[in-house]
Amino acid sequence: MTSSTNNIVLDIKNLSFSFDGLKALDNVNITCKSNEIHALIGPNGAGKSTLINTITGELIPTTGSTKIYGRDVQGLSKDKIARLGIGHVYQTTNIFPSLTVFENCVLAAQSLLSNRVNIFRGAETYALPGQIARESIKKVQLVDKMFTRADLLSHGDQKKTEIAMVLSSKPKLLLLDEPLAGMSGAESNTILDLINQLKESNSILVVEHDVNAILSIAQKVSVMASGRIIKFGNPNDVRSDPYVQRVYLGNHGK
Amino acid sequence: MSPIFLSRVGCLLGLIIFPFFADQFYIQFVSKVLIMAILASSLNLLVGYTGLVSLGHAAFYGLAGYALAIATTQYAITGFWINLFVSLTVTSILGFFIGALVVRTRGIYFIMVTLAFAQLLFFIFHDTDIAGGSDGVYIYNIPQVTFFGYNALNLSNPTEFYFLSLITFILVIFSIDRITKSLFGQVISGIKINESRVESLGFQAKYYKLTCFVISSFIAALAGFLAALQFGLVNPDMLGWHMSGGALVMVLLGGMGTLFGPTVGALVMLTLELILQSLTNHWQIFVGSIVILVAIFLPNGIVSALRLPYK
Ligand SMILES: Nc1ncnc2c1ncn2[C@@H]1O[C@H](COP(=O)(O)OP(=O)(O)OP(=O)(O)O)[C@@H](O)[C@H]1O
Ligand SMILES: [Mg+2]
Repeated sequence: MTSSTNNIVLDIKNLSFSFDGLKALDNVNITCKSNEIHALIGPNGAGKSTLINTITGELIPTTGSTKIYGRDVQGLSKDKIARLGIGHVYQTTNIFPSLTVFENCVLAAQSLLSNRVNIFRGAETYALPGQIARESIKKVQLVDKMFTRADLLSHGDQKKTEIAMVLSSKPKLLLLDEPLAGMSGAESNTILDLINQLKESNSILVVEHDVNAILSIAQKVSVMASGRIIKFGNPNDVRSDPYVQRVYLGNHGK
Repeated sequence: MSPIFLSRVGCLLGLIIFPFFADQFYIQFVSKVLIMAILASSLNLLVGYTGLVSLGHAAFYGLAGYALAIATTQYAITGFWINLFVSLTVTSILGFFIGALVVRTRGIYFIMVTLAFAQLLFFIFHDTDIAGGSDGVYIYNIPQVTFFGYNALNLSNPTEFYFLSLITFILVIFSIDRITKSLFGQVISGIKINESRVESLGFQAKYYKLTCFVISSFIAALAGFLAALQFGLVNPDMLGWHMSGGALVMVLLGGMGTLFGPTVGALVMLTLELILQSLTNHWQIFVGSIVILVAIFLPNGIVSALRLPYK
C-alpha cells in the first residue's frame, strides 16, 4: 500500500460552477487515485453530473482547479482532455445510434491511432481497432449483439455499448455517470464485476443511484448534496452516516 | 463479380465509347453533366458525409474559373498544367481560410456563414472591374494539355475536352471513395452522427472538418476549372447562390452520403432542364415540382430507389 501523492490521477480543488446564478457546484474537492473506485452519490440535482462535466471540459468551472496527472486542464478543449486518457460514460446515453455496436467501438479505438492519417488508406487495413473493439464488447457481454445497430438495442444494452465504446478508447481515468441505469439485475452484476476488474488498470469515478450496489465495490465514497461534498470516507463510514441512512438506506421516516 | 461492379464497368464502357457515336451537342452536354457531377460530389463530402450543409460552395467553383481567366488574360500565364496549378492553389488557400472560420460554427450558422462568404466573393467580382464586372471575362487562349512535351489533348475539340472531363471525374470519384473509407472518412461520418461524442473520444473534430472543407473546395475547383475551359467564359453567376443551391439540390436529389448520388442528381437535373427548356418557358416550375416529389417519395434520393451502391 502506497499512499503517496504520485498515484493521484484526478485532483479537484475548490471547484465552483453556476448555471446562470444557480450554484450547481460549491467549493468541491475530490481526488481519484489509480486502481481505486471512487463512488459519488447524492440525491437528484445534487450536482454529480455537473461535476463530471466540468472534468471533461463540457462545462467550464467558474473557480477552482482540476488537475489530471498533475496537469491543470482548465480551459483545455474537450478532445484534448479526452486525449489525456479520460473516458466519459454519460448519464444520457451518448453513442452513434446508426452504427452497430462493433462500429461504435471501432471508431472509438481509432482515436488511438495517429490523427495525421493517410486519407487514401482504407480504415479496415488497421487491425488494432477491430481487435480492441472485440475485447471491449466481450467485457460488457454484448458479443451476440455486436453487429446490431445501436439504436435497435434496449436501453441497458445501449448503456453497455457506450461502456464498451469508451473502453475501446483505452482511458486511464473512467468517469461513469450512472452506468447501471436501465439494466436488469443480472446486467447490473455484469457491469459491477466489470468495474471491479477495471480497477486493476484504471482509476474510476462513478456516479450511481444504486448505492448498495456501488458501495459494495467502491474504496472511497463522496456524498454530494446541493452542490457540496457533505461526506467523504470509505464505504463503511458513509453507510453509518445518519444523512446517508435517511436518504438512501431505507430508514425513511426516522 | 458482383452486379454492382458489373454495372459500374458497364457505365464506364458506355461513357468511353459514347462520344464516338454521339452528336457534338450531346458530347458537350455529357461533359457538362460530368463537371456538375464533380462539383456536386465535392459538396457531398461536406453535406452528405460530414453533415455540414454549405450554401456557398459555388464560391470555390467560381473562384477556380476566375483564377484561370485572370491568369490567362491579365498575366499571360497560359499552359494547362500551370493554369491548373494556379486555380487549385488559389482556391484551396481560400478554402483553408474560409474553412478555418466556418468550422467554428454549427447547423444553421454554418449555412449562413458559407452563404455570406460566397456572396461576398460574388459582389467582389460583380461590382468591381478586377475581372469584367457583371459581364465576366472571355478566355480566348484555351490552353492545350501537354504531356511531357506532347500535345496530348486539344481542348477546343469537344471530344477531347470530353475525355479530360471523364478522366477528372473518374479520379475524383475514386478519390472520394478512398477518402470516405479511410480512417479520416470514419471520423467525419462520426461527426455527422454525433459530433460531441467524436470530440469526447479524443478526436479534434475541427481539424477533421477543416481538412474536409479544404479537400472539398479543391475538388470544386477542379469542376470550376473545367467549366471555365468548356465555356471559354467566366462570370459572377458561377459564384452565386443559384449555383450553390443547384449543386445542393443535385446532392439531395441523387442521394447524399452516397458515392454516385450527386452524379445521378447532376444527370437528372441537367437532363430535366434540357428537355423541359425545349418544351416550355416555365420549365423551372416543373423541375421544382419534380424535386419536391422526389424529396417526398424518395427522401434518401434517387439512388436509394436504384439500389445503387452506398458509400
Ligand atoms: N443545462 C442546465 N441548465 C441549467 N441548470 C442545470 C443544467 N443542468 C443541470 N442543471 C441544474 O444543476 C443542478 C445539478 O444538476 P446535475 O445534473 O449535476 O445533478 P445530478 O446530481 O447529476 O442529478 P441526477 O442524479 O438527477 O442526475 C440541478 O439543480 C439542475 O437542475
Ligand atoms: Mg446526473
